[in-house]
Amino acid sequence: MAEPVLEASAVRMEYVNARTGRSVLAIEDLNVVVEPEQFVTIVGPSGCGKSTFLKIADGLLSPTSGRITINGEDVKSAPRSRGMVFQDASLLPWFTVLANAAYGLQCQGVPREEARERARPVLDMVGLTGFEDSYPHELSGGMQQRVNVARALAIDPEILLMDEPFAALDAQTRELMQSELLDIWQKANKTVLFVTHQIDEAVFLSDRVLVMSARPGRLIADITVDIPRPRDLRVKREPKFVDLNAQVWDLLHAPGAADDRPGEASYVG
Amino acid sequence: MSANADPSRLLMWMRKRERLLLGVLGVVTVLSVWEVIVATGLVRSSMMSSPSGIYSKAITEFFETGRIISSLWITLRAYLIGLGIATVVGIPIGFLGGWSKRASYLLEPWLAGLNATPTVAIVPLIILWLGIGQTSKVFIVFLFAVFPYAFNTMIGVRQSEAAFMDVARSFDGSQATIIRTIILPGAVPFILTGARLAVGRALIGVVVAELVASNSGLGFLISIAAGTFDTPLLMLSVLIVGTFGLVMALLMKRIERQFDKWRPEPAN
Amino acid sequence: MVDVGADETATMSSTLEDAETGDSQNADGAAVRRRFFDEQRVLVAGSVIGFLTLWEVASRQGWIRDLFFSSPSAVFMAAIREVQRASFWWDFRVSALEFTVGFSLAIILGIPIGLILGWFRKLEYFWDPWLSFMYATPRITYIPLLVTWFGLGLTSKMALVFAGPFFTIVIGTLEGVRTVPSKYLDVSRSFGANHWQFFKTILLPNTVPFILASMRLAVGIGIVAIVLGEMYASQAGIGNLLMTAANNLQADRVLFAVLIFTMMGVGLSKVLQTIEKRVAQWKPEQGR
Repeated sequence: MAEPVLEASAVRMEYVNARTGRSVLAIEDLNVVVEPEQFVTIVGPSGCGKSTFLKIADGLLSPTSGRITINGEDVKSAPRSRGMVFQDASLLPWFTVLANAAYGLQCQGVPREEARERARPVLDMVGLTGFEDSYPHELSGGMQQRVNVARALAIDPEILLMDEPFAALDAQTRELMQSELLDIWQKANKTVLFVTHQIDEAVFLSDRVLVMSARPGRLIADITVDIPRPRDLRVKREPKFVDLNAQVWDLLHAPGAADDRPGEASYVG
Repeated sequence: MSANADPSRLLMWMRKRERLLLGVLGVVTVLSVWEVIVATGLVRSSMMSSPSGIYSKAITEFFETGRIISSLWITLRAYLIGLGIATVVGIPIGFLGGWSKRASYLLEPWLAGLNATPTVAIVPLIILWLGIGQTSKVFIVFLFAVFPYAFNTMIGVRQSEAAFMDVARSFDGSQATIIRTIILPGAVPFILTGARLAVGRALIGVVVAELVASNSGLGFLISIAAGTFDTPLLMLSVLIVGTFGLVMALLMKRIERQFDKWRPEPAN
Repeated sequence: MVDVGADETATMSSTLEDAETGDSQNADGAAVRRRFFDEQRVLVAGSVIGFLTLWEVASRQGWIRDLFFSSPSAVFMAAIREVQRASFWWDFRVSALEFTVGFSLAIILGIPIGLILGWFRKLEYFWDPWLSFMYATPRITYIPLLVTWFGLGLTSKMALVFAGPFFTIVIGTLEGVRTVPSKYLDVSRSFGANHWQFFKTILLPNTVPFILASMRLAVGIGIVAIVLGEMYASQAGIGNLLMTAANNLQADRVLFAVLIFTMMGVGLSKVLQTIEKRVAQWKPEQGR
């Protein structure tokens, strides 16, 4: 078995509200392992800490205790090892699409022209050929997210971290993007750690689904999705798929697993 | 917002009040440096008074001559009256300009143009016309304040109308109801902006009027101080005017923040 | 802390422009736009012409006193006369010089200081009380003080023109720096950008619109400053011309001077607006 790409051990995140002095436990004790070229998704209700966990994996936050390593190196000291795809496209509005896609490379010290040249093929890969000189506000939500993905891919990271990237899209675009993401993933041969609150998205995309409880977040289950690849959207109607969906849904709504907030984790049947 | 658990209570308190503490430190530092500069004669005391000089002057004025209080009171009165009239006149005009398209074509160039004109320049003419005294003072304050009100109200009503017209039209209510419940509330942020600007401009107006065309009030006090080379009094009066302006500005900010929840644009 | 209301002059210029070009926000068809265009143009022109006519008539008929109100024709004649006089151009150069030096200094010093204060939050807190105080104090109150320090020459006016815009620009720039959306911060940190890269690629582009908006506001403040300064503490300049004319009961010359100042202000504002459009073309709406 190959070395895992990402390893999180005993990650715990506690916030202290500076104003009231009270502490909030966001993540209780997470242990996550992602193998090379795997597509792993963490699914859980809103506010369960999954985005927080991803941010820790990206080095943006420091855990109260525990650590996350990528290929053995602690996450904080190795920015090149992961590429984050943010929920909000957060493209810099004053840069063109090409400049945005090249931004990650630029931050790592690659000279501007070279970075842009290297970003071009990545833009092709995500299907945005011809839009290099457009500005973000001229693109649709789905297209902006593609630039987002391109930006992360361009730095050739060890692992791609994706924080609910399709949350802001309408349902149909969302499904299309899911399918396209799988295409891109297959072409790029990357390892992905994906986060979402939508169950069907998790099951459709991943090799493994990690189910997270409501706050304080902890892992309830690690489910293997053994639906063969390549998958297209019609897979969502198959009994196997529906089954797995129901499995995850049950886990999320078991007593003690989640707050009883109806509609928290959406079950799209 | 979020920080890892902090041991010392004092440090936490200090962090919370960081803004306040640093601000106080800033004030104290500048005042001290200022005092030193004047005391050591680096700057002639005829040019600039030290904080202690201003302070002793303040004591004298407050308890002996009482000039400050009476001047402040006179200025305040003219200020508030002029501002009040401007509010009552400016907002309806602005509303008219924003609501009716026809009226806006007629009014807008004037409102925009007059808003852009430095009202100060017309002050001499007004004095020629109305003479020296309370009337011209209030009128000048009014003139300074009315245009920001009218102009910004107009923009606000227009914005509000554009944003909410569909909603308004789908209701069967009368014009009055629509205006009252939909258009006006939507325009409030802009009206408040206008108010904030008017408050500032009115202060300029009253000081200009008093400097030039009055024998009472803070502005007049300033001109006397300048004329008699009474630097402590001069700086004291400037300080008082400035403080008054600051107080009004902070007040307006408070009020605006109250209504911030209504703002149609999302905050960052 | 007192904020700079960047809305004010911005909206003014843009609506003025709208009024002139006849661009309507509601028009969806070309035909509709043209009709709108005409109606708007006609009414705007009509109201301006109408007012001017009324004014002229009122003056000639003696309904209003010539001394105080003058008339469009008189102002026009005064304009023609003045423009041919060397003294006018001398005054104009003085005013222009005072304004340019004062305003340029305000920009050159204001922007860097605003950036620094925005970046180092502690510094901003330290200076905040004084900044707010200076910003809230009407410039006119400084005139006697500045005259005491600098006399009646050019310097005191330059200092006055410097004072107002400086604080406006500092505060505006400061706000621009502080309102960088946190998501951009996350992006830059995620990809490992260092401080300098962050400054160049995110902070500056984000702040530029704020800087420009505050500059436009500062123009208005600067104009007021120079008018005041020249009217009450000067022996030259257009403002001085205004005062002289006022003292000689020459309302036509006074209004002419007012016109000059207004044109200066609007002109500069337009220039800034053009720059703003060019630099901030990535902004989806200039929408107000």
